[in-house]
Amino acid sequence: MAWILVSFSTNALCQTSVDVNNWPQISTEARGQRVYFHAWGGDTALNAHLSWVAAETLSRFGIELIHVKLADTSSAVSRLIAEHDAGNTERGSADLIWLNGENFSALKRANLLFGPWAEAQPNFNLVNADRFPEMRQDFGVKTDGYESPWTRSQLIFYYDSERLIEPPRTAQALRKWLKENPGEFTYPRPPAFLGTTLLKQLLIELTTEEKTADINTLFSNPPNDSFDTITAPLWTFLDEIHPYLLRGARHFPQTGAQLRSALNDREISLAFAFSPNEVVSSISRGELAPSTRSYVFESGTLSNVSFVAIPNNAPSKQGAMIVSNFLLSPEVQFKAATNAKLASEPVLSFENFTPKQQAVLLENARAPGAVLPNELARKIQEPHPSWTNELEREWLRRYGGGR
Amino acid sequence: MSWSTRLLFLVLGAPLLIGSVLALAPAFSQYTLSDGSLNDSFNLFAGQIPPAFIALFSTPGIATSAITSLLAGLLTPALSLVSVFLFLAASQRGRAGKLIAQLSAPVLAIPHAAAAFALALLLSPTGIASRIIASVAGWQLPPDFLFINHPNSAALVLGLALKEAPFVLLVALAALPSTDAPRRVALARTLGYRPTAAWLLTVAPALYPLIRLPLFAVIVFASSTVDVGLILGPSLPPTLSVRLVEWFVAPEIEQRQLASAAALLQLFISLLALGIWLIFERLIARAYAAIAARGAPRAASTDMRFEAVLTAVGNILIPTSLVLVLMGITALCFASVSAQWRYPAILPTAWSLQHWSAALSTWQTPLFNAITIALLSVTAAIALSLIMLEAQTRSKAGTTRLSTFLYLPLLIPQVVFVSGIAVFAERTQLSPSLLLVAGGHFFFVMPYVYLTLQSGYARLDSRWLLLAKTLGASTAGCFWRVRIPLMSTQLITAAMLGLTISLSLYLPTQILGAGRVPTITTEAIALVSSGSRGTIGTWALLQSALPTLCFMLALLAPRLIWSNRKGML
Amino acid sequence: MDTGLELQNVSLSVGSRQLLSLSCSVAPGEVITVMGASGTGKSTLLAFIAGFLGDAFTAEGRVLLAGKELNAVPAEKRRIGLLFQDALLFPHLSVAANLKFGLGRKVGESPRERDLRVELALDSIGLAGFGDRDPASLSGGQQSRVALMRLLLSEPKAILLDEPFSNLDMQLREEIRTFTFDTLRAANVPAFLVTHDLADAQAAGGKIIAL
Repeated sequence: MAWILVSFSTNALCQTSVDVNNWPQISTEARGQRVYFHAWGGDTALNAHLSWVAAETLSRFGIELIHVKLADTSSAVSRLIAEHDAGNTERGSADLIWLNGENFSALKRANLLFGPWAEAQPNFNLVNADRFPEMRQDFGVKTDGYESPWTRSQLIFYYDSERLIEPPRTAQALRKWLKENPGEFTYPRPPAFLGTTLLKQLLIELTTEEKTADINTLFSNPPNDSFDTITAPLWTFLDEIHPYLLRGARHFPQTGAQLRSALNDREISLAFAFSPNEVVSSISRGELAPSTRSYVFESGTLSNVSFVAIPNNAPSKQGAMIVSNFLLSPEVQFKAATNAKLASEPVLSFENFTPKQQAVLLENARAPGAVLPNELARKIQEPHPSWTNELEREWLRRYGGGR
Repeated sequence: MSWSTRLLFLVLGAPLLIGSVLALAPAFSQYTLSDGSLNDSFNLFAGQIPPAFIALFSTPGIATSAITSLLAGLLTPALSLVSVFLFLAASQRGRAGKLIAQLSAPVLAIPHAAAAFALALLLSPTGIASRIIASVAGWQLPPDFLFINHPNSAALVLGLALKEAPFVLLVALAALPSTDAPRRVALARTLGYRPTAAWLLTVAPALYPLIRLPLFAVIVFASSTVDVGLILGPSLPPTLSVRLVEWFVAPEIEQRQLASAAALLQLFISLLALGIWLIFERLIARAYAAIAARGAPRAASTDMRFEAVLTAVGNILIPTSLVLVLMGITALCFASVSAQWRYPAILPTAWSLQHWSAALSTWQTPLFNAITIALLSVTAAIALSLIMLEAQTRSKAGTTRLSTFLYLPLLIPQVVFVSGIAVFAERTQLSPSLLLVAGGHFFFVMPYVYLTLQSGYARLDSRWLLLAKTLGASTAGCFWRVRIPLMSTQLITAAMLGLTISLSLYLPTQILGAGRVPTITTEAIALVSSGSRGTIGTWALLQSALPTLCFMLALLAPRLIWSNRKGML
Repeated sequence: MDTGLELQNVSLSVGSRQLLSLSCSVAPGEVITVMGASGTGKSTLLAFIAGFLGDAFTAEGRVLLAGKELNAVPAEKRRIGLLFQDALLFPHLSVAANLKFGLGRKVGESPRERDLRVELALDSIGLAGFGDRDPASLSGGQQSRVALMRLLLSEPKAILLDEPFSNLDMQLREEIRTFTFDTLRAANVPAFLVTHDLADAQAAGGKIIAL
């Protein structure tokens, strides 16, 4: 009996002790905490960047930041759900998770996230959320302050200019080009994030063109009974181009990085990535030839913000908030933006950088292989996250079983 | 049953049982939809099929996945067995044969994933083989063919066989002396059979029963491997075990249930592979009887051609596999120091140490974890094995039943019950920690360590202990002053085997450690998705370095320790 | 008086088949020889006397050493030494360490005094200074002598010899045989020899029992 009382009271203590609006108290409580940051570990440059961030959080705030390298974000989500199932409400294995899209909506729906807290951060104003509403929306779902922006990305296409003079800039042009040049393109196999992104991109473009549905439907609502009719043009398109893909679509690469390798090895001459910095950083690492060029489709490409969130059962919530706030600081955002090896855009509004920083950023935009800023401005919003699941499911149903 | 046997059953059997049950149970539970509502409940006893199974069998390509896994499970051991037997028959322990056998041993130290990477680096369309042909044929662009990742799983079988054949070879060599091979062959030759054919007809049937259980372990492993399946196996659809893991780590609960149903299917497939293998055993036994009944060869010319073919193939297969592995490792080395290596350059066009410096700046924790876990699990395994073997020796209890039971952890697919253990850990609030992972590793290391030490116990001349007793040594004195020193080579071998296994484990570390206990292996596999030849090469080499070091230590240590005691070597 | 080694109505069987049955006694300094073809249970008899009878065998009768019954005493406490066909010098120990293996600890004896005893023993068999040598570097004859010395240094109350000379070649056999029996006589312990070689039995010079 006494044991139950004790656990109740400590539970209550934990839940009421975090006042998101009292930032000085949060800073004090955060000192000495250990923050486990669950984030994808497949990018050595990002891992190195986070190592630097960890060194800084230790010396500035006394917080020990540990980057738990995941092979896949959804494993962090499934771990959270498993912990919840097992009744673990206070000693979760993650304090901060890097996530967006369907992962965020799954966790928010299941009430597994702590919050709201994001807008209470001192640095939140710097993202200028009023002018850029995507800072408060994750794939069309309102964040409601349950996650804080960290980086943003956009789908860009890139090609080997030594083998391709004029790349296709629309879906129709892509189809025509593939039929004339078989084996020069492929995409990562869904449910890999990049592969599904291409599906969404093609779907939006085909739907807009053929006006088979209202785009706003796609953006804000989950798919309903008209899914089959709306997606029909996409499947027809894929059925047509699959025989002309690399390996005749009998095997797809697993990730965008493998796609990039294939381009570098001249297996394909066109590829894409969800990172505007991709080509510049790859050239600097020697992973792509200097003749590689990147661009955005005529009607725009998908763009989204990725966020960090704090699970409800995180033991070091205060430390997690301090870390997130630090990630939003001009210093960290600038360091990431100018790190040639990193592949992301800052979420900070341009005017919130210092004049010296702004000059450097403008200079970088002129590097060979970089996407022209006016092309990058052609952004398309992500559809509702349930579309991701449904598209993946249907793709797997049609093509996942092989011939 | 003595207490030591009971202890062994508990130590190995309990996790197996708990893990399997917890992994498979969700398949039979109620089906929860994604919006949280429950599906209509079903009644298993009324003959209704649980929804998880309905979902499993309506998954596109599930039959292909299952069949691919089954094929891999049968073809890998078949290829390994045939190449090993042909090699032994053709070389008949001649000098070249002994050399090749010694060269095969280090291959055991290379982790499966690293070997798979090496093969991919060699045989993919942009691989070394293709580049060599390109330099001769003048290609500028890589050919568009599918071998690695082909749906027929040929590359998967090859990659697995490259590692399993040396394993089967070494097990066969260890068992060979007890078959009295030279006398059998001599006898057959006096009856008119040629040497290679004679070996295959007279020694092989005697040798096969001695290596049966290790072959069964190969069958189960090949039909359920995850890391090699990811690297070399098909993707449309992937092998069953790869899909299983994809479903297990997915956030939706119905995916978890699907994973459980798939685990049951995986168990079934592995057992089916074993069953089919057993049927083939019978068929081949009958074929042998028919050949023997046919009598000595008459037609000299066909017989000589047959003999020549057998000998040639026998002399080629194993050495070729070694060459492939060697070339693959070399390719990994080049990749790890390459800055630019576009097709069709045979050697990298720009060199750099960036991959190594990146790896070495982050390897401290994974290295520490890997070594600590390996040392902990192996020490525990050796200690427990010695305790049990000593107890058995002193109580004169039977041991034969035990060795079959010991193979049980090797006969149940890893992927099936490790996930169950993870669920168990979550339910009992055991937080993921180094100790938990070491415990998981202990479970996989124990069978090999125990069996190695058991053979050491069996092979020790009993007169040594009698002698020690007559000279007045106590029971403890016999153990520490006589048995341990005389078994030192086996102890070192057991330790090396255990360390190698622990250092290459991926699935248990990842699942039991929840990503918080990184080891060199988990880091290496996390970087597969990076697509960077340099990064993959570097980490594959790092992953191979530790076991190889253990292996060399195991070879050198006896020579160093007993340098002035010739009788011990 | 020390009555030496006595076997009273000893009968060994495997299953229902009786292997052998005998009664005899050996006085200190004497050697009794048991002869028989292979399979007649000679080695089993030695195992029984030393305390190592295997599970497959059943035994009846008593074994007495200096008047004390040994049946319930464990093998390591019986103070009965065994000499095998092979010298069986522990390969992981030096020659001196081999000799020290069975060396009982005398009260108040220092390590230096133990080393001295070993050196004296080596000297007495003509192998002075061989203490640090690797046993594998010794010749067959040298190994046999060290084995016997090791046995004697453990101060056994009785010694069993299981065809100890059969692995030696003809020339060596004569020499080692003489050396062994001379040494045994000087040590004044009862000895039990099992062999199929008549020459061994004659050299032993004691009673001969045929199985």
